[in-house]
Amino acid sequence: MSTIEQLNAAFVSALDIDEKQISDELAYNSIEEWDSTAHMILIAELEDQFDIMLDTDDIIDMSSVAKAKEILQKYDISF
Amino acid sequence: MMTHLSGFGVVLRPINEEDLSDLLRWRNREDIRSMMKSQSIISMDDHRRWFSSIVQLNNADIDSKAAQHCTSDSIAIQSQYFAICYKAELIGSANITTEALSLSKASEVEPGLYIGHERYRGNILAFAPSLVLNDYCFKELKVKRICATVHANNHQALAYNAKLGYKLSSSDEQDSQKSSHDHVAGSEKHPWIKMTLQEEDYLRATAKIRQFLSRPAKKN
Repeated sequence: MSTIEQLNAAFVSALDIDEKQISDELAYNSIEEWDSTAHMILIAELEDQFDIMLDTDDIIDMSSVAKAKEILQKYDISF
Repeated sequence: MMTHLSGFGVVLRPINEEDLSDLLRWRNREDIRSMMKSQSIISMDDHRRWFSSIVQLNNADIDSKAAQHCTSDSIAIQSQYFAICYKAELIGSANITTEALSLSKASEVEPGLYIGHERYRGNILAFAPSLVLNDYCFKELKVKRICATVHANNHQALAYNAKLGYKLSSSDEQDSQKSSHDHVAGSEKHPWIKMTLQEEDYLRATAKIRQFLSRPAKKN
């Protein structure tokens, strides 16, 4: 599975949304499914998918799909 | 002396003069003030007068008479006002008030909070100042409950409070049942919803988010 597929899988699973809804512009609180609870599940999914541990600043900064990609690159994950 | 509170990455400190311009600009923004009990636009002169009154509060002990904020109808209300900072940058404002004689003797307090900084509005960080403030109320002030009044149209705040463990107050539950259609439709007839937070519900509801917002910072 490519890293983009892993990323999408994490979003689909955590937010319980269709993969077609995922775009760089998709943002926290912009859809009902991406609330605080889903955000925490998303963090856990991303950590599981990429075998990393995000720190608090990154959890706070991860406010969109585009931002998630940017942050994950700091953990040596490229898209 | 005014309390400095911190935790979950944020600091709640006394408001200072340098904060006034940002706080006023945010407070007067339509999307923020339209959800407040007092929705009028505040002038800088009024804002400065308010600031002068809270400076006295900041310098007083919460038990002292000097800390009582007397309104025009002479009801003494105890209040504390805070600037919310993240990474030393001002991002919003918070306060607590009680109708009891002093915050230290209050069994019930009402919080007020808004995040004005664009970058952090609608961000998960918005939970951090509430966690700090609520911990302070329950652990330091030993209040029995925190009561919030939320505009019925403020769906984001209603959902946010529910995530913190707030429940609809019983009397208002009856009100909202009577007028559930009005609430859904955002009628002006019942624009406010009262919600109550008990410590046990609060700790249960926020256990997970506390873990996420209190991870150690990465060492660079």
